[in-house]
Amino acid sequence: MSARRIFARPARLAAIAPYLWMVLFFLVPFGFVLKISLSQTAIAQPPYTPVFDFTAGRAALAAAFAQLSLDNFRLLIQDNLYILSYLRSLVVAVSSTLILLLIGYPIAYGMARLPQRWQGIAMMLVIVPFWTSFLIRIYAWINILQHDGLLNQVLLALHIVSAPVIWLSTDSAMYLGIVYSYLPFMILPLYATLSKLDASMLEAPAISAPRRDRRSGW
Amino acid sequence: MPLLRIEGVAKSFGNFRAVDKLSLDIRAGEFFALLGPSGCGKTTLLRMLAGFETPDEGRILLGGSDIAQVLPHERPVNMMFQNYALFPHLSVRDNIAFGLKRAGMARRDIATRVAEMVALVKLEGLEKRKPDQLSGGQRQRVALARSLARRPQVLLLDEPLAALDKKLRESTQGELMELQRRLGMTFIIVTHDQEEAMTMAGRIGVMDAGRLVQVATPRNLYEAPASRWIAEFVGDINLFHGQVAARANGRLTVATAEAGTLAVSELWPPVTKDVVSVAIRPEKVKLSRRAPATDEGGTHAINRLEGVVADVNYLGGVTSYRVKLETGAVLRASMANTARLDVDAYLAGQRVVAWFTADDCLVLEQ
Amino acid sequence: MARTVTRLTRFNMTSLAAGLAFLYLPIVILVIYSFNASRLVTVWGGWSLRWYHEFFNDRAMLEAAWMSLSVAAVSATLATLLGTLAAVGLARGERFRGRALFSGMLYSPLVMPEVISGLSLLLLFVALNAERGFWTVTIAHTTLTMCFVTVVVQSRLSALDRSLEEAAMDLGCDPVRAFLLVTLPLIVPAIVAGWMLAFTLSLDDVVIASFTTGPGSATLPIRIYSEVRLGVKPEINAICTLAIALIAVIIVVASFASKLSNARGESAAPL
Repeated sequence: MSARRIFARPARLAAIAPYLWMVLFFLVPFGFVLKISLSQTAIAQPPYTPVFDFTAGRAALAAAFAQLSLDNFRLLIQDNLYILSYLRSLVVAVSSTLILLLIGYPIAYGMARLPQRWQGIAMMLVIVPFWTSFLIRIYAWINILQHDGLLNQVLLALHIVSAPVIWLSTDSAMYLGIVYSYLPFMILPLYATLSKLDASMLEAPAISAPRRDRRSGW
Repeated sequence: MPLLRIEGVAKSFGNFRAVDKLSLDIRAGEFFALLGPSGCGKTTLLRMLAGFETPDEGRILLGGSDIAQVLPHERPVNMMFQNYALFPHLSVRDNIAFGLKRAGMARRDIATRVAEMVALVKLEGLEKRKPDQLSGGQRQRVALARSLARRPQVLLLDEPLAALDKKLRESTQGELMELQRRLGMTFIIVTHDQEEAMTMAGRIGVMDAGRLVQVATPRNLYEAPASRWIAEFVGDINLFHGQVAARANGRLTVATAEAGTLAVSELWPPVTKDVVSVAIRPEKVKLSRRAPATDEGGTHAINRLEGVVADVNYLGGVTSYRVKLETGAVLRASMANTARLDVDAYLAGQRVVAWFTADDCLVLEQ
Repeated sequence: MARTVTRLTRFNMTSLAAGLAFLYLPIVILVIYSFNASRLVTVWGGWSLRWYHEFFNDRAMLEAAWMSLSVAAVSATLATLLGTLAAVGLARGERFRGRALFSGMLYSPLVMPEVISGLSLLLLFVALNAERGFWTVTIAHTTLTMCFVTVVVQSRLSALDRSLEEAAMDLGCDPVRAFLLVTLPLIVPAIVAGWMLAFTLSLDDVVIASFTTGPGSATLPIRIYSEVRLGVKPEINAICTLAIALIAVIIVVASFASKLSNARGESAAPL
C-alpha cells in the first residue's frame, strides 16, 4: 500500500453521494431519451410505443424490447430536411468562427501588448460579458435592431435610408448575434496564449471554466 | 539489537523492482546516509521507513517491533521532505506545532516545545510569518523544526539540502551534524550528492538498482570501494583493466594493456579472478620531471608511467592534470597547491613521469 | 524601426478600443434606456427610475426573480457540496470500478445540449409523477452545475502538491484529518469560485428551467424570454441592468478569490 492508496479509500467513499445523484438524475433520464429515440410515434398518451410496463412480466417486456427500432435514426439520415439543416448549421458555425477569429485576434493581440496594469482591467472588461447571460446580451441588441430601434433612427436621421429597414430575423442579425455572443470566448484563449500567461493563471476558474455553448434558440 | 533493522525488504512498482531484498541495520544515534544515483531505490526505501510505501516482502523492525504495515501517522518516525512540504496556509509557529497538536499535547507544552524548536533552528522573530514570506534557507529550517518537534525515534531526511545554493548548503551541513550530535537522535538522510554524504554521515550505504552494494564509513568507501562501480561512483578514479600475471608476498603483478605491468598490494579478501582492474585515485598519483629511485623487491614498490601533460586545470585548492601515456591512455592526477607561487607547476606538452606506490592502488574485480 | 512599432501599437490600441466598444455598446445602450422616462423605447424622455419602480411593483416579475435567486442559491450550494465530493473521488480515489462511468457522467453534461438535459429530466419527473416547480428546477440545475464545480475543484486538487498531504500524515493525521486540516483550506478558493460559477449558470438558464418547471413557477429568464417575444418592454431593460450589476459584483469577488488561490498555490509549489 502506498500513500496514494491510503488516501484512495476515503476519497472513494466521498464519491458515493455524487455517484448516486448522477445515476439518478443523469443516467436514468438519459435512458428515457434513448428509449424514446428508438420508439415509434403513436397517437396516444404517452405519444410513442412501446411502453415498458415493468409489472407486466418478462414476456411482455421482451415483446416491448422487440418493438424498439432504429426507424427514427433512419429518418434522420433519409430526410433531406434534417441533412440540409445540419449542413446549414455547419456552414454558419464555420463562417462565424472565421469572422470571430478575424475580429477577436486583433483585440486579443492589443490586450497582450497593454502595460501589465491595464491588462488586468482589459481582461476584466472581457470577462464581464463572458459571464453575462446570453439572453440579456442578445436582448440588448433588440433595443438597437428592432423596427423603430436605434440603428434605424440613426440611419433615417443621416438620410442613408428613407424607410426603416427590417434587421431582426435576418441572416445578418443572426451572424451579428453569434459573433457578439461568442466574441469573449474567442478573445480569452487567444489572449491567454499571446500573453504567455503561466498555467496557474489559466487554472483560475474565471477563465478556464468550460462554459458550454448553449444553443438557446437564438 | 540495532534501533532499526531492515530485513529482506522488497518493493516493486509494476515490473520495476525499486528495492530488491535489502537488509540493513542502523544503530541508535547514528547519522546514516543512503547514497546512490537517481532511480536506485533510495527514496523508495526512505518512504517505506516513513510508511508512505508498504514493502511487498520483508520486515522493518523499529526497537524490536515490525512497523512494515503500520500507517505513517502511527509511526514514531518523522520525515523532512525534499520540497519541505510546508503548509502554506499556516504560520511558522502553526507549522511546527502541527504534529504536536495531533499528538494531543497540552497547549502550554506545545508553546514551550515550539519555542524550543524555533530557538534550535534560529528562527526567532519569524514565528508569525507564512512560508511564502520566508527565504529558501528559512523554509528549510522550518521544515527541520517541524519534523524534529515530535522528537521522533528516527528522523528521515529526503535530499534536505538539494534546494539550497552551494554556500548555504555547506554551512547547513555543519549545522545539521551539530544538531544531530546535540540531540543524540538517529538521522537517515537520502542524497545523490556523495560529498554531502561523506561530510555528514558516520556511515554510508551505497545503493544501485534496488540493492545495497556497500555499507561503510566515508573513508573506507573512498579508499576501499567494494566494486568498480562504487569506485567510479564515489570520487574520481583511474582504472586500468588487465590480467593477474603473478602473486607473491601479498603483492599482485597485473599486466594491463594501457599502463603496462603494475604492482598492486592485495587487500583482504583476496581477489579470486584473474581478470581485474587496477584503480588509482588521481590525488595518489605523483608527477615529477625525473623518475624516482626504484626499490625493486622492497615493500615500497613503485609504478612508473611516462607521458606528456595533455592539459592542466587550475581549480584553486588543487590543480588537476591529464597525462597522456605512451599507449594513448589518459591518466588523471591532481596535486594540492600548497604554495601560492608554484614555480614547479607543470605545463601542457611537458614530458613527465607519473608514479604511485603499490599500496596506493586497489585491485578490483568485475 | 521604432516608428513601425509605434504604428503597430496604435493599430493595436484602435482595434482593442473598437472591440471593447462593440462588446459594450449594446450593454451601455441597454443601461441608459433602463433610465429612460419614456414608455417608447426609442424616444428619450429624460432620466428616471420609473422602470425600476415598475419592476419592484410587478408581483409576477418579483416572484420570478425570487424563484430564480432561491433556485440559484440552493442548487449552487448543493452542486458545490456534491461537486467537491466528486472532485475528491476523481482526484484522490485512484483507479476504482465504475470510475470511467463516473467521470463520463460528470463530463457529458458539459458538452450535451441543454435541450437534451432538460427533456430527459422532464421525462424522469413525469415518470416519477413529481410535482414540477422549485425542487425539480433545483435538482435539474444541481445536476448540471455540479459538473462544472467538479471540473474546477478537481483541477485545483490535481495541481496541489501531494507531499503536503503526506507531510500531514507524517505528523499524525489520518487521511480524513489530513484532508480537512491541509487540503480543504487550500482548495477553498476553488470551491468558492465553483459556487459562484454554479450560481450564475443557474441564474442564466432558460432551456432546462423551461423543461423542468411547472405552471405558475417561472424563473426570471423564462419570464424575460416570453416578454421579449412580445416586444421590448422598458421594464426588462431595468431588470437586465440589475442582473449585469449583480454579475459584475460576483466577478470582482471571484477574481479576488482566485488571485488568493493562486498566491497560495505558488507557495505550495516546490522551490
